[in-house]
Amino acid sequence: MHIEIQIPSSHLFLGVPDAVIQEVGSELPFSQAELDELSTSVIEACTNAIEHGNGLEEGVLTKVELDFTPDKFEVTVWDRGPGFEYEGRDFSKMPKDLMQERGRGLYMIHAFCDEVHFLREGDAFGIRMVKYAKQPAGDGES
Amino acid sequence: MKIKERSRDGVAVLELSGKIMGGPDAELFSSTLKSLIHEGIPRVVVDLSKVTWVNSTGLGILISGYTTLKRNDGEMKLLNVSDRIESIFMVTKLHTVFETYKDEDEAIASFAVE
Repeated sequence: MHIEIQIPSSHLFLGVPDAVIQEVGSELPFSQAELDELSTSVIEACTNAIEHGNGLEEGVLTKVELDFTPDKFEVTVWDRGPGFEYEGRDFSKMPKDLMQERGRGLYMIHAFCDEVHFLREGDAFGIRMVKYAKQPAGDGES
Repeated sequence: MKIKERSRDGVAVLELSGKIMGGPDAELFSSTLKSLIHEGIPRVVVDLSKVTWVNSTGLGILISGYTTLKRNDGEMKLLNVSDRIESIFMVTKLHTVFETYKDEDEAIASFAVE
């Protein structure tokens, strides 16, 4: 199934994708921890899209696409910015300075998601985050 | 984010609510701490029980507050950290920096034994 939402590029609306993921996810066999991890990642991606991609211009919409099956939840966040050079960079490593105030977003996304893909389509830049339910569908607690 | 402020035994208790996510949140938190330092109350318990989520910018706000208080002979301790926020602290290793408590009395008392 597919859901698409668009939010103005302002911090005010960062709670919207979180609410949708929590609502949709409550009907899927994902644990609360898994949903929180995906949602935290999507909030990070949306923060980047809103701040860096769309420059906090409320008139420019940040698009969030959700695709889900019983065991796979995929979320793609699109902005209108130029993106960044992601080839060859390793986002799985923690920033060296534990006390640095910024620069953890992509690391957190990679730590919390099973797959992360960067995409370019026309003038849009996207990041796709995939989370698999660890408890297979139909294998619920008795 | 909203901040409700009170004090107990010379320790400020800041009850944060909503989302810690940047925008005006950084200035609000920073100015609240600066006022407390100015008033001579650099020991602060930050209650996160009503915080829905925090993003990486919000982590930066907490780190900045922690550092500001340390520089002014104070300290920041966290109270009622949800599982969701705890998992972010774990993955970013910030659980090794922030002292966390589940009980307010215990958090307040921890300043006395230092």
